Amino acid sequence: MKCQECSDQLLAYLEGELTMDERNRIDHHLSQCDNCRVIRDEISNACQSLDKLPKPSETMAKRFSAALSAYKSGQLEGIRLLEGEQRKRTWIESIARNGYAQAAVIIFAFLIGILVSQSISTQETNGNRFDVIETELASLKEFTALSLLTQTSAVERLRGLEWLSELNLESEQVLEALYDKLNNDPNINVRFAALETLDAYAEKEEVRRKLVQLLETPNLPMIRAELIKLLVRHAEKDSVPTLIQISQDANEDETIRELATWSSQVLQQMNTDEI
Amino acid sequence: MLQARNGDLETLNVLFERYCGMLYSFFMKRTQEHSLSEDLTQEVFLRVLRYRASFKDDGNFKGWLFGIARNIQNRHWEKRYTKSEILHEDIGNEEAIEIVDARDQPDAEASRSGDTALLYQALERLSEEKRQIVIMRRIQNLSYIEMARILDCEANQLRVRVCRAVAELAKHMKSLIKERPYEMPGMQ
Repeated sequence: MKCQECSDQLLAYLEGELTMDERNRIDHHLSQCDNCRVIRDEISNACQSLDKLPKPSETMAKRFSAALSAYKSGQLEGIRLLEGEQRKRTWIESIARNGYAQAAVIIFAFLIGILVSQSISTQETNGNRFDVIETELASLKEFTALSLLTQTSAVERLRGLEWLSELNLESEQVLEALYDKLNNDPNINVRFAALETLDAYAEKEEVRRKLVQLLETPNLPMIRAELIKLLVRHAEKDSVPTLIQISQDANEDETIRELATWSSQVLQQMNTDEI
Repeated sequence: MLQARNGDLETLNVLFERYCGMLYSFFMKRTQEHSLSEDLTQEVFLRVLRYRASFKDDGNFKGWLFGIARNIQNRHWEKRYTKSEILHEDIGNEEAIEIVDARDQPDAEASRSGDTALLYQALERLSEEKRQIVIMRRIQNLSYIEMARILDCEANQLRVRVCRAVAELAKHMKSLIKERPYEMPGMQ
C-alpha cells in the first residue's frame, strides 16, 4: 500500500467506516510508516476538536421547511385572490369594450328585470367570496405569527411579535398570547416586545383592565416599571388601587414602589376631561 | 437557485440542507451563540426566499448567499448595539440587560475558548468546497450517503475528499498555533 492511498483513508479508518480487510491493510501500513502515523494523529486531533464545536440542531431544516410551506400556502391564497380579481376585471372590461355586448346587457336586463334582484344577490355572493378569502388570509397570517411565538428561539418569538404589531390583529387568541408572553416568556426582550405590542391595543378598555390584573401578578421589576408607565400613559384610573397597594408593599422593589406612588398621584390628579 | 427563482420553491429545501451548516459556522464564529446562529441562518434563507427574484442568471449563488449573511450579521450588531444603548438610558444599570433565557448561557460558555476561535479560523482558511464537506461530515454529523445525496456526488469519492480536507485543516490549526502570540502563564 502506498502512503497516498493510506492517508486518503485515514479518516474513514478512524471513523470505523472501513471493512475488516481495508482496516487490516491500513494497520499493516501504519506499523511500518512513521509519516502516515503522524498524519493519523493529526487527523484524529482535528476530529476531536471539531467534535467539541456546537452542532446545529436537526430541527433547523424542519423549521425552515415549515416556514417555506407556510409561505407557499400564503402565496397560493394570494394567487387565487389575484386570479379572482383578474377574472372579474376581464369580464367587466370585455363588456365595456364591446358595443353589442353593452346593448345585449341592457336589453337583457330590461326584459328580465325581475332577475335583477337575483343578479344583485349573486354579486353579493361574489363579494362574500372575496371576504372569505380575505378572512382566510388574515387567519393564515395570524396562525403563522402565533406559531412563531411558540418557537424555542427568542429571536423567532420576537419576529412573531413584530408580525403581530405589523398586522394589527385583534382576536382574543392574539391578546391571550401577548399576555402570556408578557408574564411568562423566559427572555426579557420578548417580554418587553410583548408589552410594546400591547401598547397599541391599550386603547381598549378590556385590554387595560387585563393589564391592571397583570400588574398584580409577579414579574421582573423592569417589566413592571414599563407596565406602570403604560397605564399612566393611557390614563388608566382603575389601576390606582393596585398602584397604592404596590407603593405600600414592603417586599416590593424600592424603585417600583416609588414609581407606583408617583403614578397613583398623577392618575388621581388627572382631570376626567383630560382622559 | 435558478429553479427556485423560477417558482420551484421546493429546491430551497435542498439548498438549505447544502448550505445551512456553513452558514451556521459562519455565524457561530462571529456571534459565539448557538441559538442566535441558528436563527440568523434561518433569516438568511427567509431572505433568499423573499428576494429570489433579484438573483441573476449568471450569478454566483455562494457569493450572493454569503453577501446576504454578512448584511444580516451587520444589521444584527447594529440592532444589538442600539437595544443595549436604550436599556442603559432607561435603567442606567448594566445588570438590566439580563438574559433570562437559560438556554443562551451554556452556548456562550461552551464556545468562548481560544481553541474554538482557532478552529473556526482554521476552517475559514479552507476553500469553500473543503469547508463545506468538513462541516457537513464533522459538525452536522451527516453520513457520507446523505452528503452524496445533497451534493449529488459519489459517497466513496467524498470519503477521500473529506479526509484530505480534514488533514489540511489539521495543518492550518498547527500553523495557527505557531502564529499565536506567546502568553505568559497565568495571564489571559
